[in-house]
Amino acid sequence: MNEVVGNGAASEVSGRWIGRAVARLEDARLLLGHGRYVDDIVLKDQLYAHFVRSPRAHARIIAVDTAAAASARGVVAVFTAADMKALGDVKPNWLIPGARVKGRPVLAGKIVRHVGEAVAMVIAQSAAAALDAAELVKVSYESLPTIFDAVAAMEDHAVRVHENLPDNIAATFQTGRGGFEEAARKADVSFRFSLTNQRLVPFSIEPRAVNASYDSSSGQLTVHCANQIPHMLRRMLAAALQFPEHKLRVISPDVGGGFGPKMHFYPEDVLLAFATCKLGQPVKWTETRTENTVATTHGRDHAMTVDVAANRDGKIVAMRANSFANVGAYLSSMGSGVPTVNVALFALGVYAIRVFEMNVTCVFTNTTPVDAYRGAGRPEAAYLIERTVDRVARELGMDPAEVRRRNFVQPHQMPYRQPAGTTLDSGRYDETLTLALERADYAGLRAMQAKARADGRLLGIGIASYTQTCGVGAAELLAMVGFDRGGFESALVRVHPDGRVLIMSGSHSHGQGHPTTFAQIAADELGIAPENIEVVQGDTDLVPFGIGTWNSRSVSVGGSAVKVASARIAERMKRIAAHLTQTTPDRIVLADGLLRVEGANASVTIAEVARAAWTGQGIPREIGIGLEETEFYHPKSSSSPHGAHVALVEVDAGSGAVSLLKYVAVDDCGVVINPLLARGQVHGGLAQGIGQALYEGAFYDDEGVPVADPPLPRFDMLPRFETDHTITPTPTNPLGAKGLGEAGAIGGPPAVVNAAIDALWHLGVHELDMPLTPERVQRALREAKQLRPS
Amino acid sequence: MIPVAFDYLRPRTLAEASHALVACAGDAVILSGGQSLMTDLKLRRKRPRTVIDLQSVEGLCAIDVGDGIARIGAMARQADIVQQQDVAGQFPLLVEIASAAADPMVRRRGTLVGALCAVEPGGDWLCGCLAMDGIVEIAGAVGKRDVPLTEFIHGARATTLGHDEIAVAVRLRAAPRRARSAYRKVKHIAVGWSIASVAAVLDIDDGGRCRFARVAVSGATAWPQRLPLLEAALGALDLSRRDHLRDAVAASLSSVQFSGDYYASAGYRAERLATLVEQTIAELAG
Repeated sequence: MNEVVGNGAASEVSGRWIGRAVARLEDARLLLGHGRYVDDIVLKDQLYAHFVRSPRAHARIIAVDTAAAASARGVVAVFTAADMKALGDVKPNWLIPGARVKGRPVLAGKIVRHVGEAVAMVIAQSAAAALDAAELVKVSYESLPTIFDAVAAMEDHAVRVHENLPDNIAATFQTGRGGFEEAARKADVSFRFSLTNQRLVPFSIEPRAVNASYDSSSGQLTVHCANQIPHMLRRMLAAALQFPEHKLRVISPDVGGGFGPKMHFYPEDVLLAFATCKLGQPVKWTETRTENTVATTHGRDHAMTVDVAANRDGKIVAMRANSFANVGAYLSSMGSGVPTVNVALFALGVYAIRVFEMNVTCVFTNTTPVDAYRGAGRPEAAYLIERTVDRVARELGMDPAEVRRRNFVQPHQMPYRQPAGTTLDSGRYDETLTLALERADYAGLRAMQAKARADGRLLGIGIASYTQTCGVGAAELLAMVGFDRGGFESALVRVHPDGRVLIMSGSHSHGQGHPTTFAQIAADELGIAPENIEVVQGDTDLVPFGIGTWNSRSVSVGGSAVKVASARIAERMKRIAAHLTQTTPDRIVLADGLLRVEGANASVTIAEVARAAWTGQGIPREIGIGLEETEFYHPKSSSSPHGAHVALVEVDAGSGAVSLLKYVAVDDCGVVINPLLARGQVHGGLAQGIGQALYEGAFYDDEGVPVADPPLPRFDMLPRFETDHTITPTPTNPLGAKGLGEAGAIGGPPAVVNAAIDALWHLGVHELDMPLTPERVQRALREAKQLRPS
Repeated sequence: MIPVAFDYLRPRTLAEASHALVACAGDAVILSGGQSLMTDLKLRRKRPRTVIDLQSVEGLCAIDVGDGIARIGAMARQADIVQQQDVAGQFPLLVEIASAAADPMVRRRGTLVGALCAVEPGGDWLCGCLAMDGIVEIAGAVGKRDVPLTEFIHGARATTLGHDEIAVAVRLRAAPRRARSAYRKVKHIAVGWSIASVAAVLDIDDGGRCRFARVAVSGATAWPQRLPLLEAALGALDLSRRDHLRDAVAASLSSVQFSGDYYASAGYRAERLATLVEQTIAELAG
């Protein structure tokens, strides 16, 4: 057992297993190399696919000559768009009202619209033969003018990405109740500034991978895919191929990281399934890193303008924001929903701001489609509001912590409906911020900053108080915003006659640790130790319908399903035990593998109860057979985890280099199931959040090619993280748990950028855009110096 | 990440290796540590018909350290070189570079001579070896020749090696006992190469004058190179005058070609390099 020291959550053990820092049950297997990922799976008569991808960002395809490739050694087939007439474009499954549907073509036929779009698929007996032959496919292109930037794409007479659309608008979204102008007139101050949330290129350790095999004997199609939502992939594939869904099996085995991009439906998924049906042999494809940068969906990419009005006491009275969101060349699965609903609804963060309006315009460009990526719209929202609150504090000459406090929604106001349209379920924002400031020694940091400034050093302290709605959620709400998914999660829990437990969960672990946390949740209900509980996920033939893992929903929704199903089994076990011990169920106590009669010496083991249940012997017929329960847990609403992060940076005035010296994260995800794994989630999220703030980007060149080796944060580029939790249980589920997986990616960017601006504000640097590369910071310092009256 | 198919040869002697090179008539590459080559092959940036692996060629792993001279064979691994006691004593620059270049796994496989032949614009080893007056020993089909590193480099990722030639060793010159040296590097956050680095060997007399200097730079410049103008100027400078030093550095870099990328432009790198060179020399002179 690995008890975490210094983590407040560890001391709040609410059950026997929930709240304990149990080391991951799955790690021994994974660390010893016994993991089984899609690329590890080699089937009999295995074939391999390789894609010919466009090197151009916008071009007409004049001809595709596949003759040389088709006759190359080892090649089985070469497919182009001409072979795909029966397949439509890849359909998005979140379409906000009014969205213009331009799904990704499975293979480009007449026009390519971004670098990396697939034009042909070569299938051969080895991966090497497929790659060699792909080089022989000759595609003649006629270049078309390009547009990469969303703001430029909105100008009159801009290049059009889709020639049959009147402009480049993919979708528009408005929220709020208006009234900014009037409120601003009455306010003491109002001002405008702009923000860029740069495009990010997600990288999992394991790239995307598919191995599809059609069995002509059973008529069954099996698709192994590194995927976050196996049941949704099955539904999408069945619809795209018009294949009977009950004969389609999706298996998502061990998956090396998802982060959002692995939940989306991709052309390659359809193409491999199509090819195996056509060829009768299994076909496999594993993405290369180069493909990863151009074919897997990107994240973020907003250009925002903010108007804000406040009074001298620090109270923000109104906010208005406009954003142009670059969605790439096509709408990916959630492409119209993430930049609109997921940003605008959460743009007021943790604050009670009465007047609000926001417009988001989704814009097509000649770039890789943009979709959900860790945080999925909430990092953009948090960055927008947290930069804004900090800006208000600086313009008013107030402490940024104090301005936050004056605007927080208060606990007694919960549940609180914001004019942006979201309802916050719970949160003690002041308490969380106070703990974060204490942990960071805020007063000490301010003193250190003043002293450093006197010595000619530039220190800055940044704060971010964020919230993020997690756990999607109620089906009614999803329907309202055009999101074609359920909000429930499934769990089938079965106690075997030997007393061991199998859980089949519709949720999916791709590194988060479900086999451990779900076992802990069930253990508390069943009185069975986690090591005797096995969690199975990712196989649609085994697991009940599920909605998978995204939106930080696994514990709150999937875990609740496990809890509810397990609790029903516990009740059954008590009834059976009562019969076996000739007492009443209310006198049975379940713990440590035993069902004891309260106040008596009698007891039966769980194995004895399970044997009785699965044989029907020794128990009345009306109790029925078995110890197995299935729960489709469907929450009525989402939960709102929140947190307060504090960053300390030093900026080198000469080189512009920003060093992150200290980072404190206090997150409130309600009840913490496993503080060790919670800390892992916070650390991983922070690495990505800090990566966005300081290092990462797509860095397109003039031809629309993203940089091949982007700066990803590594161990030596990050400080030691200091983490803690406040615990405000959510009333929206029986666990009281909220999401945490995306917290660091949401709180990180504003905390770090606010810190950098805090260091430089007195020098006249009032705006900085991510990533804070040394050169960019140096340029901002010089521009400010030129403007400063000497 | 699959290379174009190639023939793989593993000769046992240098003569065999030379013959193989001649037979391939230019369509072959030499594999030593593979740190640059394997990536080039996997990304199909290089598509040679033959790869000639030097790992079994006898006598190429030698690391001989004499008085003031080190001779390092083509297959000597970076990690092995710096672990030799006498190397640390006479060639402290090598030890310093080892802690700045790449990571332990790369240094375990990577060779010093291979790093010189790769001529990566942000290369650490090449920068340091330039400051140690490196001389490359080259074996070709028609005989041997020695070429100073300054002439060996023929631009970014290019050398004067002929198609039939193999760099078999490098000889490095130690600094006089009283000299001071340093390697300073600003790292490219994504790829680990330098965006500006300087290797300097300075011999400062008791009066604070510079008796001789060897200064090499990499990262910012299009390829690693010595700064002969600066070296010549330092002897006449009052090193306590920072402004004079700054001017001398600026003058020496004024004719140098710089290159940049999305992370740090050529202009930014040029500036970082100038500051770094100035700081390093001031530090050594102080």
